[in-house]
Amino acid sequence: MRLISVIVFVVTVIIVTNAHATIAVVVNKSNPVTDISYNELKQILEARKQYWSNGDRITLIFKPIVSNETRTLIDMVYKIKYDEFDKYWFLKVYDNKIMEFPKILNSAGTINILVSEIQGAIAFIGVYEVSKRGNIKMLKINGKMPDEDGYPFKIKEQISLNPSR
Amino acid sequence: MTRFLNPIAIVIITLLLITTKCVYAQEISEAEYQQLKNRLKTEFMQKLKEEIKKELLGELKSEYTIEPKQKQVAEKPITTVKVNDPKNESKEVSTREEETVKYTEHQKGVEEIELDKARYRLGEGLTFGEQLLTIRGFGNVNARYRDNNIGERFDSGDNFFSLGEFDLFMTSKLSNRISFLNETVFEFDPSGEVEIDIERLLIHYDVNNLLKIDVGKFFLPVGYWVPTYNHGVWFQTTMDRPDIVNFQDKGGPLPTHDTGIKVSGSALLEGFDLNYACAISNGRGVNTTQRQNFDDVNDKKALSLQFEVQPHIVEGLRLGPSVYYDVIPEDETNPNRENEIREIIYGGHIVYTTRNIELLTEAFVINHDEVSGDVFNTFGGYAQFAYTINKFKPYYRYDYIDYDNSDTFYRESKFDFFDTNTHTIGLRYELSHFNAIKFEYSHGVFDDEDVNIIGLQTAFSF
Repeated sequence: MRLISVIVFVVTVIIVTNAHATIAVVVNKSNPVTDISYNELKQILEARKQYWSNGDRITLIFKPIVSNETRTLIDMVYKIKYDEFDKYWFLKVYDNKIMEFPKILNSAGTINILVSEIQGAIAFIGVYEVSKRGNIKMLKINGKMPDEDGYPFKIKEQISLNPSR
Repeated sequence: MTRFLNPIAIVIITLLLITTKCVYAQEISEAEYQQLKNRLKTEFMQKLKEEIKKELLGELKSEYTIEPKQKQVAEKPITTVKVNDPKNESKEVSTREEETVKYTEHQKGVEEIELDKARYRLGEGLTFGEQLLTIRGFGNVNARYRDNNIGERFDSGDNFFSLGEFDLFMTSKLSNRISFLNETVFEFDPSGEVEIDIERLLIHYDVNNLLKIDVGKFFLPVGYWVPTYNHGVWFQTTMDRPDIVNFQDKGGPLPTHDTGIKVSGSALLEGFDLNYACAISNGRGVNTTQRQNFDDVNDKKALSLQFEVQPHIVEGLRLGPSVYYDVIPEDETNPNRENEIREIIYGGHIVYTTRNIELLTEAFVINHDEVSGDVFNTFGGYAQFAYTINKFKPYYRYDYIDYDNSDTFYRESKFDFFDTNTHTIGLRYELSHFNAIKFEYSHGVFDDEDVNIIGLQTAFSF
């Protein structure tokens, strides 16, 4: 009986972990974009592209650097060390390439609210953290939804407590 | 056998039932039975209430994460829950109303704290109402030893501690597309006085990707180092700037800041990004140190233009040319500088930066053409390589400048402009996210004089 309980527990943990193992790209519902290419997304993440096609200014919203989502983005897109993330953005503000720092928020709930309220917002959160209500929508990347094969933003590893990686 | 099983089973069950009834009849009287019944009923109602409360809270929580607070409260119909209570058979409890108010108030507080924390974490700094002012800055402290003291640049002792620049960097968003930027530097000069320099003061209009306009005092779009690192010593890998891009008021040959208007932008093309920047500004004063923040002595404006390509095929590579044109006014107080000088600076940079590698190269040709017909050319540049290994970053830089010694503009300056040939090796260590220790040794030949310098610097950002 105990063995069965342990197995059920392990299976549940695996299911829950996998449920959060993909990053969803969410934008405000008023945004005309529904499908975005990986390259375009990279340009947005690197602040090379700062405006949507409808003229709205892009507001980047991230979870904290210790989150799996942001760390995956840093590994895949920025290719810098985690503790250089602040320096990366500080240099962009210092060079006057961008007007303000990206928003970094702890709670997925607050991120959902902000994306609902800011027309040009784009945020990166766990798939199952995306609110099904509210003024937000999930973007396809290269025509793929997060549950489809070929979706690029899959989290590879779990949270590491060592920020200097 | 099976024929007898059924009657036997019936008998056994009947006996069991009778026994049970007897036991109950013996143990619980009618009054006690009623009491037990009431108690169970009360417990059941209590549990039911708690369940309903939990469910409502859960529902409110999930809805609250999406919808604004006021909207949510207004839109939610207040329903009542009919509950059977043993004491009061039908009691109407407006649970949702109470819970909504309580939860809204609680969440309001939580969300405000959350957003405040978020603002703090963003580095948005001091908050004055809706308009956010961000203040960050840089500082550095140095220790140096050198074996030779040449020129005015080296007019102090051979070993010393020195305060570097104290740099306050402020930005404020005035609207979704307008922002303000200021960089004020407190410099400590050898006389012991503190000089306050407004290095940048501008208003920025962000039209779109292709067009951004800066009006005020800004870094000139000349090469890579000048518009990128400038006063942020903590940003740069090395202790000092390369000699060719040293500040004008520290004896550098290039103009670095100016007052005017600058337009810039990026075109995201197939295969590469094309960045451009173009500035029209007051230009240089009569000598290398005169600033023209308030007016322009000769009314002739300086023009700088820069293009930069970032090919997608090699991530981290940036390269491009820049050109600067100005007419330097004559100096009426100096008989050796009685002519205007047409100045054209051609520059180019190739930069490659990845997670571990930093390769910076820049070269400039400074052409001074006097009206009298004399033409002078100065050539300079640097190449810097650094490789990051965990928190350590060893680096090497080669600096080179070859001045035209008869160039009156440099010759008549208050600084000595030496031909420079310097090798620098060093190690940068990231002590924390915002503090780096740099240790370096450099061997330079300045106009045939050898100088060895050992330096230690702690550079920080706050």
